[in-house]
Formats: sequence, C-alpha cells, structure tokens
Amino acid sequence: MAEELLKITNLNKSFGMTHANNNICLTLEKGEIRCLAGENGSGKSTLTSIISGMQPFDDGSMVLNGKEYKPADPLEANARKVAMVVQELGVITALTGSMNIYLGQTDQFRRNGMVSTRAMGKAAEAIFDKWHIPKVPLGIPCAHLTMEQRKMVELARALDADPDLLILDEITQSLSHDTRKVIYELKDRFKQEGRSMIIISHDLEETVEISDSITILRDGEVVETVRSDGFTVDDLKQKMVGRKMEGDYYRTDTAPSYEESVLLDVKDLSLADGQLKNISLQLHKGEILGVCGLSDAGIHPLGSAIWGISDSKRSGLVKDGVTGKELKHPKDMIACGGSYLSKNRDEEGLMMEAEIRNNMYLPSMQELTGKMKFTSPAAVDRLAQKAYDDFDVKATSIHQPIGRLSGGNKQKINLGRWLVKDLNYIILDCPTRGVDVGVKAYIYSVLRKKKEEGVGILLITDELTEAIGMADRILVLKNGELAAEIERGEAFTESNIIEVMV
Amino acid sequence: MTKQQKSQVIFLAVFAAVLVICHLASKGIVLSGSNIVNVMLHAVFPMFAAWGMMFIFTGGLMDLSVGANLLLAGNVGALLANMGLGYAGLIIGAVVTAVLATQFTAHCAITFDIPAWVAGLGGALILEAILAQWANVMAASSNTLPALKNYRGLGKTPGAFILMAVGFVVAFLIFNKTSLGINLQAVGANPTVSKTMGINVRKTIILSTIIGGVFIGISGVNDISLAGKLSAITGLNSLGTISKALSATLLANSLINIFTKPVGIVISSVIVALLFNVLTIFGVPSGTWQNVCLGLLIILCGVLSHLNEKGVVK
Amino acid sequence: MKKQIVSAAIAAVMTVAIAGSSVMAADHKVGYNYLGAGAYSLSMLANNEKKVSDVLGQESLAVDDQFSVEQMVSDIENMINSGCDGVAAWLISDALCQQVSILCQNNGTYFALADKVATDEGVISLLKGNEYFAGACGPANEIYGSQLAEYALEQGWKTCIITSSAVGDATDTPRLEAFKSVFEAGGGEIVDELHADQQQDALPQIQDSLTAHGEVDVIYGTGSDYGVYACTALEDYPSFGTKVVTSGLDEAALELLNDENSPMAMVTGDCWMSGFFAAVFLQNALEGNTLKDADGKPIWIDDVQPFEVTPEKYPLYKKYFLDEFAYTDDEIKAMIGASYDEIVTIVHDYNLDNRLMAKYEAGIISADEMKEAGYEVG
Repeated sequence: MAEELLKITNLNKSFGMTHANNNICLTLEKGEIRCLAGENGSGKSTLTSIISGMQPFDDGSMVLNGKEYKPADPLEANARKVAMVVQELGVITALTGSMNIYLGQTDQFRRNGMVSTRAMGKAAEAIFDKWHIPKVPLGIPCAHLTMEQRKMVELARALDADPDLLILDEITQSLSHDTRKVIYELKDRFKQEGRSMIIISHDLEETVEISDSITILRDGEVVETVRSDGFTVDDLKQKMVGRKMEGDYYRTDTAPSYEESVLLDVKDLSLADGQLKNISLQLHKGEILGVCGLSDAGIHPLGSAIWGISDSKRSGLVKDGVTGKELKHPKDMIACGGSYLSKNRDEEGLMMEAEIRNNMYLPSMQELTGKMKFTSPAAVDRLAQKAYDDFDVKATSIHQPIGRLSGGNKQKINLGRWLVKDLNYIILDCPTRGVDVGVKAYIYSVLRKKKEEGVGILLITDELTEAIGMADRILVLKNGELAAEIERGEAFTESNIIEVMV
Repeated sequence: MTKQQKSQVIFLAVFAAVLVICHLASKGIVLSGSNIVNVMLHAVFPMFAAWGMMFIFTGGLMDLSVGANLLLAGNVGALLANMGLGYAGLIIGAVVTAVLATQFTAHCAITFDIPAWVAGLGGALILEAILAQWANVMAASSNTLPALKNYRGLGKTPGAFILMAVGFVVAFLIFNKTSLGINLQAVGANPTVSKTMGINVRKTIILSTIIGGVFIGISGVNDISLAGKLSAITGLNSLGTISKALSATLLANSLINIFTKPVGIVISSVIVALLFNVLTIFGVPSGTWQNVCLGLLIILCGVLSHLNEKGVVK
Repeated sequence: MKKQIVSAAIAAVMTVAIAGSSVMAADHKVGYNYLGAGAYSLSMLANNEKKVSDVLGQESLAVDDQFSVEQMVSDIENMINSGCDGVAAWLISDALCQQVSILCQNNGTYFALADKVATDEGVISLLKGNEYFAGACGPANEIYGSQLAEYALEQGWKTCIITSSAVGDATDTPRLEAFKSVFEAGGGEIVDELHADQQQDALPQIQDSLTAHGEVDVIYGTGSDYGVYACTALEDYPSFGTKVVTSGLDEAALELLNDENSPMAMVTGDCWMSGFFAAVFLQNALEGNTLKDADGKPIWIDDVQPFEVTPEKYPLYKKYFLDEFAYTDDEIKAMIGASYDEIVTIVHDYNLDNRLMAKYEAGIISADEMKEAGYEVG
C-alpha cells in the first residue's frame, strides 16, 4: 500500500452563513495526482487555499507526512513542502521575474543589508533548469512578459519550495495547448519522484485524462473520490451537478448547418505588429465559426481586431454582410447588431465595482436612451431584471456589485447582457473560460438557441473539444495566418486540427 | 548591452546634445560652471521631496500633505537651530516633525481604512493650519516665522551636493536593493498578492512612510537652508510647494522604462531645474510660458518612453 | 467601533472649537475676511482691522478665505448670516465688489472695502450709491512702484530685475507697472521680469536670471518676501554689487536693511494701515456717522502713501508701530464720531514721521529716542 502524504479529517470552513467546506475528509498518497472537480462554489478553491496556508480552517485536522499540519501562511506551507499556483493571483508586474519568485523571501539573498539581485537571478534561473520549464526573461519587469510567461514565473515560485505537494488551481485554462504539455510532463515527473499534485481544472476531459483519482465536491462537501481509470466525462458531469445533465452538452449533429447569407465579411485583416496577417473570413447566418490555434497564433487578437479595439494599427476590410457598411469601430459593429466578449472578462469586460444592473444595461444604452437623451431608470431596471432572470444569475439582486459574484455568474452576465439584444452576430473569445460544467452547458444551450435564431457566432477558443463540439466550421490560425479551414464532418477531429496547429 | 541600457545611452546622448545646443545658443552660459552649480542646487529640494513621495506613494498612499509637511518641518528645524541647537537641531527637528506628520496620515489611512488621499488632504489642512497659526501668533507680536540665518550650509555648495549624493545612495539602495524596497513595490502593485506571499503589508507601508518622512524632512531642511525662510500657506496651497517635485515624479514615472525610479528622480529633478533655468536664460516669461513648457515636456517624455511598449498578450 | 469613537472625538473637538470661538456680546459685531493665514502682510492687515474692534470693546469675527477667490463672497455671506452688523471686505476684483454691494444692501449690513478698492467707475458709482456702504480705503500701489523707481534712478542704477508674485496679482501688478514705466522713462532697463507662483520659486528664478544677465544694478521686489529672496539669492553672487529695493515693511526686510552687509537698500510701505482705516470708516457708519463728502458720497481713499523706514528710524518703527500701534487707543476712540474732513486729514497725514512726532508730542517717545533716529526735536 502506498504511503500517505496528506490526510484531511472533518475539515470545516465557513464564511458567515456560507459553509464553504463541510466535514471534508480526503487522503492523498505519495506520487498520486488528484484532481478536484465540482461546480463553481462547490468549495474546491477554499479547500486548496486552506491546504496551501492562504486561509485558516475552522475545525477538523490535517496531517502531512505523519505530522499535524496547520499552516498559518503560504510561507509556512512552503516550509512543509506544500506550494500552490493560484488561478487569479498573478504576479507583481512592476517587479522582475526573479523578484516575484522570491517575493517575501528576499532576505535569503541579503548581504550586508542589501539584497543581491544577481544571486537572486541565478537562483531563479536554477529553478527553471531543474524543473525543465520554459525559460522566461527574469531580469525585466513582469509587465513585459506574456500571460503564459507570468504563469511560468508563478509556477517557478511554487517549485522553489521543492514541493512534495503542488496544487494547481485552474492554471491550464490560461495556457496554450503547447504550454499545457509542460505541465503534463511536470506531472509525470512528480509522479516518478513520489511527489503529489492536486489539480483543479474545468476542462473535464483533461481532469479525467491526467489524474489518478478525482475527488468530487458539491455544496462544500465531498461527494466521492473515484479512480480515474474507466471513469468517463459523462460520469463526472453527472456526479458534479448531482443530476443527469438534461439535453446535449455539445451539438450531436455531424454536418454543418447555416444559411448562405453572409453577416460579417472580413478581408485581408492584418495588424501592424504582425499578430495577424491577411486573414479573410465570412460568418454566415446561423453559423458557429470556430477559431483555434496555439498561444501565439493570433486567435485572440483576431476578435479584438474585428471589433476595432486592437492596440496595433489594423488594415484590411471588415464589412457588415447585410448593409455592406464598413465596420471600423465598436460603435459601427453595435449599430449593425454585433457584439464582442473579451477573453479577459474581469479587466476588459465587466465593471467590477459597479452593480449588476449597470453592467447589464451598458450594451443597450443606445436603445434605452430617449429622444431627449434621457434614460429612464425604470426601463434600465426592467432590462437588467429581465437579463438577470433569463440567465438565472445567482445573486442577492440586480443591485449587488458584480465583483463579488462567482466566475460563472459573472460570465452569465457578461454574455447575457448582449444576448438580450436583437443581435446579428457575436464574437466570443473563450466564453466558457473559468466556468463550471453547469454554466458551460447552459452557455452552449444558449449559443445553440441563438444559432437557430439565425445569429452568427465567431467562437474563438483555446479548447479544441469546445470548437469541435459547437462549430460548423473551424478556422485554424498559425503564426497569425489562416492555416486551414475545416468543415464539420468526418475531418472534424482533434488530431486533424492539432496537425495544422503545430 | 540590454535594451534598457541602449535606451539609457540614447536618452543621455540626446540630453547631452540638447544641453550643448542650449549652451551654444546661450553664448556659453548654460554649461558654464557657475550655472551648472546653480541648476544642481535648485534640483536638490525637488529631488528629496520626490524621493520622499516615492517611498510614500509607491505603497499606495497618495499622501498630499507632503507640501505642508515639509514647510512645517523646515520651520521647526529652523526654530531649533536658532535656539542654539545648530545643525543637529535643524536636521533632527525637521526629520522628526516630518516623520510624525507622515505617520499621522499613514495611520489615519490604514487604521481607519479610509482612502489615503482623503487622509492626506485632511493632514495637509491640519499641518497648514498649525503653521499658519504659528505665523499668526508671531505676527500678533510683530514677529515672523523663524528665518534661518546661520546653519544654511545644507542649501549651499558643497553641503547641498553632499546631501544629494548621500540621499541618492540611500534612496537607491533602500528602494532597489533591500527587502523593504522590493516588498514596498509589491505592496503598491498588489497588496493581496503581497499578503499571500507572506509580506507584512502594514509593517511595509509604515516603515516606508517613515523613510519617506525622513526624506521629506531633509527636503524641508534643504529648502529653508536655500531660501532662508519658509512662509505659511493655507487652503491646500501647500500643494504648490511640491509642484516641481511632483513634476519630477511624473517625469520619473514617464522614464520608468529607461531608469529605475530613484535614478529617474535624479534625472527628472535636474531636467526640471534645468528647464526653468534655460527658459529664464532665453527670456521665456516665468509664471506662464515656462509652466507650459514643463507641461509639454512631461507629456513628451511620457509619449516617448512608452512609444514601443507592447500590450500584454493575454 | 474604533471609527465610531474617533468620529465622536472629532465631533466633540469641533464642537468645543466652535463654542470656544464665540466671544462676549457687544454693541456691534464686525466681520472681516482675509485672503489667507500665515503670510506676514496678510496677518498684519487682519490684525490692524481687528485693532479697532478691540479698542472699542466690540466683538469681531475673522474669516480666512483660504487663498480662494471663489470663497470670498460666500465667506462674507456667512459673516452676515452669523450676525455681523458690519463687514470690512477684502475683495480682489470689481466684480466681487459689485456682488458684495448687492449682498449687503439686501441684508441691510454695513460694509467697507479694506486694502483693495474697486477701480471701475460703474462699480464705484454703484458702491457710492449704496446706503450701507461705509467707505473704502486702499494703498497707493502705483506710488509704491514709482517711488522706488525714482529712488533707483537717483542712485544712478540703470539695469534692473523685477521679482514678483503670480502674473496678474491685484496688488503687485500696479506696483510693477508703475516701477517699470518710471524706471524705463528715466533711461533704465528692465532686463527681466520674474513671476513666481509659489514664493519659494522666486529664489531659483532670481538666481537663474542673474546667471543669464549677469550683474544688474538693482532688483525690485514688489513685496517684501520677494525683496528678502533677492537678498538671499545674491548671497551666491558675492562679486556682484547689485542692490535690492522692496515694497512692504516686512520685519525680515527691515532687518536686512539694518544689516550693512546686506544688499537691501530701501524698504517702503504703509504698515498695512488701509485695513485699519477701513475698519474706522465702518465703525463710524455703525454708530450712525457714515463719513460722506460734500456731495453726500461715502468716503473713498485709494492713496494711502507709503513711507520709507531707514535704518536709523527702524528702532522707533519697531517699537511704536509694531510692538505698540501707530495710533494710541485714545486716538482711535476719537476717530469714531469724527467728521469726514477730520478723517481724511488723519489718513493723509499718516506716515512714519508724523506719527512718531505725534507720539513724541504726547510724551510717549522721549527726545533722546527721536534724536537717535535723526529727528531734530527740543
């Protein structure tokens, strides 16, 4: 029998009236890769933050390597060889990579009262060498690094603790397909060396594929811990939501279905910084057009470039298929029934300090403004309440600040506020990023409904299964260029797409 | 040579070229020894005030009482110096006053969890009122706030330059090369991350504001040493006292991609002092067009330093 | 809980402060506003205005405009609302004078203009037609400038730098313009005109200008603070023989005048007495004795003359103008109820020599003191 690394017994954690973790019991063996699964708000992140010392638990016990474990802070957890990379924490952009890695521990490089940045840089480099993770420039402020490079800095910081237990909370979601591989290789190495991992991922296929076992949580309680062998994604979905998922998750048809008429016509779209080169595409009525590619392929800049908010100068032509009007700015797109959801929801999509109501009515401001340029508060309330009800947002009321909602509810609002409008086309950049399976299923059902209503959907996604599951056609981008166009049918497989991507 | 080093070389080369052109155009005045000494002397005060603000503002405390603080600190220092305590009284009086004043606003902001600018403006009004009341009491007996007649060496050559050199070394090392400086930058950027990483956020802010207070106190010492007296002002007009220091801070922020902040502040303070000096030499009217030129320079530096900056790929 | 305790403490302190500021009841309550606290000249002006109420045992209320022009009218309104029977107003523009005139008329409150007087004929006529207008008194700012320019020319000085406050300042601008016009008309050259938004900025400005233009004959400070900064700036130019002249009898400037190593050559001013005279006008009006000229118009004096304080006379000025007051309490009391002509004479006779002589004649100043100051007495 394998040796026990961590044993959690009857652990409880409450936030006011909310019981985030209720009598959690969990045992992790050395060399075991454990995934935690559950809907948003099921208590996964609370549990991992307790294990990593980010917050204390109310009662219960934890035993690590046979000794009582009750970390007061992450540094104490690190000292017991437990480290964590958190989905939303990020790095300090003003500081260099190496400073970020040793943040709070810079005293170890102190010579005569001064911190030796040279020694710190060397030590940071050594972590990357030791764990074979892709190198990033460590001597420059993290503001100049890409999101993926920043994640690598965070990972290096966690690995510096030489952890016996590494917790990864939804980090693969923000990584490209090729960088995810690095995480998988790291996982294999951990296993070989008898170290353990706890991984949280909303990608259920990934969850089942990479883990040895899965602990399923629901409403703050452990439902079950199962071995991953022979366990399917459908089983997992059912256990997570506690009911059989009604209807289909993805589309079940195997052929494309959309009308001939073009809603959005893009010709030779390029960006001056080279992120996009001569991209042409046509989005048809009732079509879901998927866009896939590796991290630097340009799929995310494509959405913002079509919408007209790129940092870099845009060239080429974006035309409304119905009116023939050239679309240069978001205002033009909105006037033609267009909409756009950024991948970076919290920074570019929502006003985090504002009420749900004010976030809801923003895209419909023009329609709600009267001839005298006044907006009726009652009309705004009605619209916000309708979207709130239609999209089943879970909050106290439309007056609750949006920043306090879960990721899934935020995304429902982010999407819902556009969908209450009479749209012709929607540009969606990773619409299911960071949401649980229940919300995901809901979003897919809404997209299918919109497709049936004739709305054109440009679905930019990092998840191939999502593109394959939902799209009529998939455009594959590589190095900013259009590498392939694959139509729904027999050729619509992950391997075919990956072959083009890499 | 790194990209940053290249930028530094280019910047300094352009700066030197502009100076040479100005020198030639002014028929040999701008780069004359006496004028350089003049400019550097005028740069010391905004430099210290800007370093002080760097330590206070970086942690997220927008304490706008700095101007009132340094006016009060300079006067308290002068009072003690005139009472026979000499340089020791001048420096200790100013520094202790400034540190206490910064701690007042910092503790108000942190303890009562109110926005730092609110605490800072409140602090500014209180400090201004204390100095104004002091001046009023003096005026009632036909006296004035203390004028510093002796002990003015820290506002003149070489005292001011020694002060500047020591100030730079201390500011640079603390900000860039100590755990406190690194933690301070982290706290200012993201207190939540900092706390998670085991940084004691409150302690970091308090320690930094104490260091900021020391620099503010020294700026008061330098200012009163240079000018001989510092008048009281009310109605938040003390903000105007730090207008050049704020300009230098803004300029240093514009140059952040080229120079680290403590170095940027040195260069920016010299540029601000030099700008007014050169414009005066060329006969540009003060109070109007000179301020326009400073505003344009700050905007220009901001634009140039961010010219090739790319957005983060998310 | 901590926040509640602090809030309660702050409220308590404010209540005590407000309660403590109320003064005993008296016949009349007079209010006066002043631009801001802290500056020597403004404090002297405010103290002089208060002097009249103090001597007469009247209640007074001082309001600080916090260096905000926008606040002036509302401050006066607040004074009226707080029960002031009369207001000595320090107003920076004609438009404000007009507003305050209407305000006081509507509220039946007497008012006088102190130190700053209106210049627009329409506004002056409006003020003079207001039954609640007690009169106006201001210094002869042009004379301040022209007098020093004439002195500079007499010394044979030909080149000058002017250092002044922000562009457009109501007090400094007429001084500066008058100095400039007389100095240039007499063959002098203004090589630089400096304006400092902040007083401390004057010092680097002067030094930059001296570097740019080299040695000049004289620097004119439109206010004594600027004159003092000019002397400080010249410390770094020991080889220069530049002299400094300044308007405003700031003690620091006078002490420099007494220092034989200092470049300060002449200091003039009126010891900020316009405020005092305006307060006298107001008290007279409150006593039902509005001072009016032969045409029935309220008293209007805008030419209180500056005088020179020489190093010899400085001890007497300090003792009998600053430590004491230019007028004795009895003299002040006698001014209430005086006629228009008497008051006009008092104001026009006001200068250092006359006041010292009056005090000598009243036995306040000894003959020895007068002789030491260069006066030929008994």
